[in-house]
Amino acid sequence: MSAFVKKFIESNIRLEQEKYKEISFFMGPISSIMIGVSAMFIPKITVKKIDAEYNVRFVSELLSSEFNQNNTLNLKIKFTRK
Amino acid sequence: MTHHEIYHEVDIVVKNRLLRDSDEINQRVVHLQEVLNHIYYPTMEQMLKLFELKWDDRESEIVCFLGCCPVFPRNVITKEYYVNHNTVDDKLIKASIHELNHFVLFEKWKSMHGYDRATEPIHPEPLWFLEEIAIDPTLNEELMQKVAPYPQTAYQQFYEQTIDGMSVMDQIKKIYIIRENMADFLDKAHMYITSNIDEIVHKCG
Repeated sequence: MSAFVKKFIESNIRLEQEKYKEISFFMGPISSIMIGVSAMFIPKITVKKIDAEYNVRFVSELLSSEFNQNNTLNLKIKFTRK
Repeated sequence: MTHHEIYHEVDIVVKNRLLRDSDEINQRVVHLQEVLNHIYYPTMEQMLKLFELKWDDRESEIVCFLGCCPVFPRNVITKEYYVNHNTVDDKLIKASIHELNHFVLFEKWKSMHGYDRATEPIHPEPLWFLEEIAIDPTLNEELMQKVAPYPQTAYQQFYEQTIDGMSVMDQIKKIYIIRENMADFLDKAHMYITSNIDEIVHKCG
């Protein structure tokens, strides 16, 4: 089963990342915009490491819902899961 | 196979992965915080202007979690979203802008109509569809693209499936173009989706 889990995770990470293709990245112009100071309230953004227990619960629930009656895993994520 | 059995297997795989990649994830947290700091504030400022929204300062933080994430979930109520830790910078930024749009739209909707439920809008609720479809017309606005130059697309179904001879996306864009203001757009787009919800769900999934 662990092989299934690994395959599921890898397969869907790839699918998820492909959704964000056609990227162009212009850090120069973006940095220059930061010179201005906003007067409006903007919430801060924080990057954090995921809680391991939450990560396990989230992936296992995802897998459980994908595990169909024939005991096979549907590796294609439906768009409703986004 | 029971959920408990799946949980046990996932517990091993995911925790091993998190342990194995622990240093990398910690480094990515620091790096991505710096990267997002550059683009987040000008993007958010422009988005709030576009949505004509004064952000409630009680909602003081948006959190991006990095981990082992086969899909990138979000919660518009808690203002949290999750991405896989090895997602490259530009893809993560594009995904972040996409999620920020959902948060801002949801807050705008709250300011217009209130929202007392503890759970966020989910498929197949009209508001969920509105969040997903509005990505295109709002984020591809010229002013948004100046600060966040990442062309954004919604789910392909919305461009392909038609209702009364016009694609769902074209209909929403038409409503967007002739809007009186953002509230007018959201109300009319929501009304269109609600009126056609059965057909949209049938055709778009």
